[in-house]
Amino acid sequence: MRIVIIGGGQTGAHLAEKFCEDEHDVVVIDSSADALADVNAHLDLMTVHGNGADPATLEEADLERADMVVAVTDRDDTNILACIFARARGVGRTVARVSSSAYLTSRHIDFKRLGVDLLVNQYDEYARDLYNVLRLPGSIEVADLLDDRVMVVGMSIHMDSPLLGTTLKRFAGKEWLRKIRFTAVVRGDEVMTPHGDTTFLVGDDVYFAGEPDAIAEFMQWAWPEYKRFQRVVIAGGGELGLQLARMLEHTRMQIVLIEQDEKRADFCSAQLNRTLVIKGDALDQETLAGIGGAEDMAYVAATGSDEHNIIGCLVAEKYGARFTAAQVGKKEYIGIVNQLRLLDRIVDPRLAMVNSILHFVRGKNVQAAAILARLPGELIEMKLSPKHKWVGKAIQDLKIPDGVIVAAMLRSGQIKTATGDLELAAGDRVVVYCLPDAVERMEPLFAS
Amino acid sequence: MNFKPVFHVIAWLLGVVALLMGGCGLVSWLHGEPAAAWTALAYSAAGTLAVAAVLGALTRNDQELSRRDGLGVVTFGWLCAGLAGAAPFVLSGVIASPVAAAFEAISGMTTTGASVIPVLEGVPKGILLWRALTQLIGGMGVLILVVAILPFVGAGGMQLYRAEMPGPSKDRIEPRVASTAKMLWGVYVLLVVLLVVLLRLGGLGWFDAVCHSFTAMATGGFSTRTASIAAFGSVYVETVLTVFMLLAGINFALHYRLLRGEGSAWWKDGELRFFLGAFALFAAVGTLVLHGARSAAGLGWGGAFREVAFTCASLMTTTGFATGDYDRWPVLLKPLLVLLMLLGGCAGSTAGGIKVGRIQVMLKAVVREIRLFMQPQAVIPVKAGRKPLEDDVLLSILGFVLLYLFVLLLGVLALVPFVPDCRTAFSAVVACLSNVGPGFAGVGPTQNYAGIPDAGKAILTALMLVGRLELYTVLAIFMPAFWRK
Repeated sequence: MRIVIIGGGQTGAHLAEKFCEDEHDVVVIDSSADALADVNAHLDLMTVHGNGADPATLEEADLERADMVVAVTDRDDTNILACIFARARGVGRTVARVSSSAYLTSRHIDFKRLGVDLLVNQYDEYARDLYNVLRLPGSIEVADLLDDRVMVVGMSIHMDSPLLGTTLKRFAGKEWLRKIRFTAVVRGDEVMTPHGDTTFLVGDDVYFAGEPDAIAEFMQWAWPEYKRFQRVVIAGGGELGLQLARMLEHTRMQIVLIEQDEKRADFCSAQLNRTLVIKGDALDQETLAGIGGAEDMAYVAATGSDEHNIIGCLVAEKYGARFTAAQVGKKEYIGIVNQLRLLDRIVDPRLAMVNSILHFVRGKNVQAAAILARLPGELIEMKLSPKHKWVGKAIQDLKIPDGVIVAAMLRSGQIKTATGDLELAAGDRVVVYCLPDAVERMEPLFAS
Repeated sequence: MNFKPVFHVIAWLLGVVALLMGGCGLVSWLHGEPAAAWTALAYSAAGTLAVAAVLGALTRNDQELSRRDGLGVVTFGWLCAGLAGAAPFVLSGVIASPVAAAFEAISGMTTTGASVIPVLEGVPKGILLWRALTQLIGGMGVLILVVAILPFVGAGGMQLYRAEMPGPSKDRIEPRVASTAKMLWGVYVLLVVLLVVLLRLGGLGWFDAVCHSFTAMATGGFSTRTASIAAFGSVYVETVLTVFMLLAGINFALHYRLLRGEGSAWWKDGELRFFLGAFALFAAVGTLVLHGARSAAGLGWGGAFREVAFTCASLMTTTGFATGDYDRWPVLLKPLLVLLMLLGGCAGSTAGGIKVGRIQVMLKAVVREIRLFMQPQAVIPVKAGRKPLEDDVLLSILGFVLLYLFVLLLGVLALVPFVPDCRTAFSAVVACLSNVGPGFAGVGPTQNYAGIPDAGKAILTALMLVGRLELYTVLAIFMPAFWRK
C-alpha cells in the first residue's frame, strides 16, 4: 500500500515507523527540512519538503498513486484541506487529525462528502484512554472493541492474587470463566497466549477480554483491593480535560476540574453539568486542600505544559492521590518519567492515531484494530465474509497460525465468549489477538 | 563501523560477482575457447565464491546498517569486488602484473575505461565479456543491484543507496529503496537490451553488440577492439552510440518518469537542459574549429560534425569511446574537452565527473556573488528547479566542487614523478578521477596506461574509486570517527 503522511512530527514519525515495519510504501511531507531529515535518517521512505496543503507539493509526492493519505500536521485546516485535495486526486482513503472537537460535532457539514473519510480528534482518543483506566482502577491499559461492547483489559498479578500459582483449569467451574477469555500473558519480555495449563506468576501482566459487566465482576473477584475512585481531579480545562470530564459525567465518580484561566473556566462550567469547576492553580496544594480529602482520589494533569503536568502529579501524589496520570508530549520526558516510575500513567500521544487508522491498512475484512502500549502485537477486529475460510468451523478446529488467539465474537448484536466449540458463521465479527510475528501470517485471512 | 554486518553484505556482493564471473567462464567455454581462458574465469569464480562463503559464515547480519556502515560497505565492497575481478586477467595471462590487473578491473567497475591491455584482438572473448560486464555492474552501481535483488538488506539498503548513488540530492523514485533500486536497474537493463538490438541491426556481431552495449550504457568505454569504435567505421553505429551515451548521462529517474508517461518532466529538468545545451554548444564550436583546421585536408562539414559530436558525447558522459584521435585536434579544442570531462553527466546517471547539476549551482552562486558585489541589498536566491536552495545544501555542493579540484591537484602532484610529462600526468588524473578513461598525450585515445609504472597505476586506481564514489564515501574511511564503534 502506498501511504502519504502529511506532517512529520511526533505522530507522523510514529505512523511512518509503524507503516515501514509493515513494508508499506511511505511518503512523508513536512514543511520542516529538519523534521524530514530526522524521519529519513533511519526509516526507508521518501520525503517531500513543502506545505502539505500546497497542490504543487502534493503533486511532487505523486498523490494520485497513493492508496491512503493521513494528515497529521498540527493545523486542523491544513489537514482537512490536504484530505480534500487527496480525494480530488482519487485517493481511496483519507484521514485527518483535528484538535478541535468542533469538526466532529458539526451536524451540518458532511466531511465524508468533502473527501475526509475519517476525522480523528486526538484529544478524544486520549480522553477515552484515561476514561477506561479510571473506570477500571488497577488496570494497566484497556482497549475497546466491537463497538465498545468488548473490552480487553491488562492487569498485574500480585502476591495476594487468587490467580497466583494456579492454572485456568482449576477454575473450570467458575461462572466468570465462561464470560471472560484470557488473551495474553506478558512475562518480562516474553508474550504467551494462555491455555488451560498456563500457571500465573507474580509480576505477570494478564490480558483478558469480555463484556464490561463481566470484566467488572471478574475484577471484583480477582483484584478486590482496587476500589473504585471516589473523586477525579482534572488539572487543566483544555480540550483533553474537558472531554474527559464530559465522559466521566456518565459514571458515579465526583469530578473536579481545575482551570487557571477565568474565561476558559467559565466556558468549561457552561459545557459541563455535574462537574465542579474551580478557578485556580493546580500546582498549589491549597487548591487541592480546598477540594477535600485525597482518599480514593485520582489526579489527571492535562494542562498544555509537560513540566506543569509532571510536577502537578508529584504534588498530588504527595497530597495523597491514589492514582496520577499526565499528558506528556516530549519524547525525552516520556522516557524519564517511565524509567523513574514517577506517575501511574502517561497519555502517549503517539498511539492514539495509530489505533484509529490501523485497520485501514490491515485488509478489507478488518474493521478496527488496536495496539496497546505494553502488549506487543495487535488486537484486530474482522468481519467474516460468506466466503471466509473460517465460516462454518468451530474455533478449536480452525487452522490458526501460532501466536493468534480468538478473543471475542459479536453475532447479531450479541457478544459470545470465544470458547473452543463455538462455530463461526458468515457475518460474525471476531476479535483476534496476534503476536507481532503472527500479524503477517494472518494477512491472507484479513484480506480474503 | 560494525565489521560483522558490513562484511556480511560484502560477502553477498562477492557472491554476485562470482556468479557473473562464472557466467563469463561458461560463455567462454561454449565458444570453444582455449582452456586458459575459461578456466581462469572458472577458478576465479570458484575462489571468489569460497571467500564469499567463508566471509558469510564468519559474519552475521545481526544489526541494521548505520550510515557509517553504509560507507564501509560501499568503499570496501568496491575494493573487494575490484580485486576479485582482477583475478581472471592474471590467471588467463592477459595481464601479467597483479597491480595492472587490479587497475584494469577497477577501471572497469568504476566505468573509467582506462586500459592496460595494448592490443585487444586476440584476447579471449570470455575475458573481454568479463571486462565489459564489470562496467555494466559498476555503471548503475553493484550495491544498488544487491539492494534490488537481495531482500535481506532491508532498510539498511538506504545507507548503501546514499553512499553509492552519484549526485547531490539522492532522490528516490519510489518510496522504498529496494523498489527504487529495482526500477533504476530495470530502466538500465531495458536501455542496454534496446542498444544491443540496435547495434546488431547495424551489422555488429552479437558479441560486439552486447559488449559495447554494456560499456556504453555504463558510460565505461571498454571496447572489444584496439581501435575502439573507429574499428567499425559505421555512421549508424556512431550515431546510435552517441544517442545512447547521452541517454546514459541523463538522470535515470527522468527516464523512469518518461516510461511512466511523465515525459514533460524531461524537458522541465534544468540539469538536463544544461547538459544537452552544453553538448550542443561544444559540438557546434568543435565542428567549426575542426572544419576550419582540416578543410584543406579534405574534411567536410559532415565528417567534422560526425567526429566532434561523437567525441563530445563520449568525453562529456565520461564514456571514453574513440572514433578519432582527438589528441591531434587543434590545440584550441583541447581545453574545452578537459572542461567537458570535468563537467561529466547529470546527477543520478551512470556518468562520472563533477556532475552538471553541481556546476550549474556553482555558476549560479558565482553570478549571485558578483551581482551582490554591485548591489549589496539585493536578495538573490540560488535556485535548483523552482526552489531556492538552502544555504547548507549550497555549501555542501560548493564544498564538493572545491574538494574535487583539490583532489585533482593532489593527484597530479602525486603522479608527476611517475610519468614522462605534465600533460600526461594532468590528463591521466582528470581522465581517471572523472572516470573517462583516455586522456591526452601519453594516455591519449590511441595510447593506453600500460606504460605507467605500478606506483602510478595504484594512485590512478585510487582516484578512479574516489571519483566514482563521489569523494566523501571513500574519504570517510580516513576519519578516526569512522572506525569507532
